[in-house]
Amino acid sequence: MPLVIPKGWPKPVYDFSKNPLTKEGFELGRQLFYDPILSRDSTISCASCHLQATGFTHVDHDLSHGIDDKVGTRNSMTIMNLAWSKNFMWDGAVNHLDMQPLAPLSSSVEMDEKLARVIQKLNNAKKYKALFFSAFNDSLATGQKMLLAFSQFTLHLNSSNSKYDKYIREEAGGTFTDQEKNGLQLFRKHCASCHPEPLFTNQNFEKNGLPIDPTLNDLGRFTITRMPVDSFKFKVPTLRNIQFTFPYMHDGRFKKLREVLNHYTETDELKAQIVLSSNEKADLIAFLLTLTDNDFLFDKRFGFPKD
Amino acid sequence: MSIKPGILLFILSYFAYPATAQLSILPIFDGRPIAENTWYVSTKGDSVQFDNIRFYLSNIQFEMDDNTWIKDTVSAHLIDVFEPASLHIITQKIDLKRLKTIHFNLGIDSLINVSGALGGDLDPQKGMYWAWQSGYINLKIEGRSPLPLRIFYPHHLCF
Ligand code: HEC
Ligand code: HEC
Repeated sequence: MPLVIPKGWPKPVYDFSKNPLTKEGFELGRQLFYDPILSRDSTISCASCHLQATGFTHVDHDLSHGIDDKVGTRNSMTIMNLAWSKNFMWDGAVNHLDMQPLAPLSSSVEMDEKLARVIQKLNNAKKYKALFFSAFNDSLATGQKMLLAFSQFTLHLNSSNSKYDKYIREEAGGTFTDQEKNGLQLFRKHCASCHPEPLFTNQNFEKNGLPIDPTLNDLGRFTITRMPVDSFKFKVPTLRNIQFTFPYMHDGRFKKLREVLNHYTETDELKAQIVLSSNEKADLIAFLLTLTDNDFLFDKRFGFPKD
Repeated sequence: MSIKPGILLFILSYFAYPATAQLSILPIFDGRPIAENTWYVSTKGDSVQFDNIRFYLSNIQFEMDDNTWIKDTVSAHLIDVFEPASLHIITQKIDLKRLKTIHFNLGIDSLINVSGALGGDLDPQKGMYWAWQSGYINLKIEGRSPLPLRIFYPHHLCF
């Protein structure tokens, strides 16, 4: 089951030659993603913070909640179209998709488990012996195989069938209203420098003018590079399925798209000041809602494995 | 690297097998082989004991007398000072009479660090990978010292 690259999209960044996608690898990855045995006390799975129906993020939680109900310092991210991402996490702390699961697994506020223990638990579970065997022709679980399987699953979480996509492809179901058309024009004018189509992210770290939260004091990309120019820069998130991925921003400070737009028109920290009338904000929001992709949000292949 | 020169020294020696070369590593501290549960005195006069010393040797290459370079088939070896088997690295066949120099890196280079999930000695399961910020731990030294406190001091480096 090779990845289908939608027409007109750029080449993925992920090197599939090192981890060719297979149905069995995907299935193993899916089981792992939904399995709480990966956490220290078997209460938290990846899906606890990344729910399919909300674009694989933690809806309604500004800062994500993990083990023993501990609260993290950042809002959970969406998991979508990650084959095109170069860096992961809000500050880009992770440089390869394969290595990303190590962060939540070992975080003391997320799943809090040692990798060696996780592998031991997988090797003790009958179910996983069979799953590892069918995916890798070898029933022994290792760190490498587990990580490759996680990527097999997350690489499939691709959204490219929203009303917007149908509009671009001139397909049935893709007729834009005048309001949505105007919203798209406004979007291309004011937002596309950082959130360009078709992925709605330029895959870079940018500063969008949010004032710093003094309790969290999150300096973003600076934490990793220690370069002053990177202060307050965060990974530009995709806007696909934005209707459902609230709350917004790295600390989840906004609950509504209207608040996000108010921020963009109020800040004077952007290179080009964004001016939008109240009606234009309504049009822009109408456009953003066309990025909802129900085929993706309700795709049974990505849901909780019922067996 | 913040380790004072002369405190830790790794001696690399090699001898021939009929078909392969073997590199043997002899970890010494202040002239004495490093052993478990043994006190050593550093050049600064501090007593130290080691519980765990692990590091990567990577990109081993043999430079021959005709200026050709032969690359080790394994990109990185995890050396555990208290795991005797890991102190002997068997590489592919080389003609020792023609060997000029052995080149290697201590630690992991930037290419391996961005290569995704790797296996063998590079499997993150080996405990030599940082979780929150991608990259391998090049060298891990853990042990104790009576002054100022008998505490466990983790000393992890990436350079
Ligand atoms: C306790 C909540 C929580 C759990 C459990 C959790 N995550 Fe996350 N996830 C987050 C948060 C918060 C971030 C953003 C972290 C940051 O920027 O520091 C994130 C970021 C990510 C990203 C990066 C997305 C991007 O665009 O860069 C991926 C991929 C991801 N998580 C996958 C997983 C997987 C796989 C698991 C299970 C092994 C998992 N998460 C478990 C909360 C969680
Ligand atoms: C200078 C680059 C830049 C511009 C221009 C920009 N954004 Fe953003 N956008 C970002 C960054 C960076 C973030 C993440 C910031 C953070 O979390 O601290 C973000 C976050 C968002 C989010 C929240 C997404 C989420 O999942 O939390 C929305 C919605 C959004 N932007 C919409 C817009 C709209 C609409 C416009 C145009 C009016 C726009 N952006 C213009 C860089 C930009």
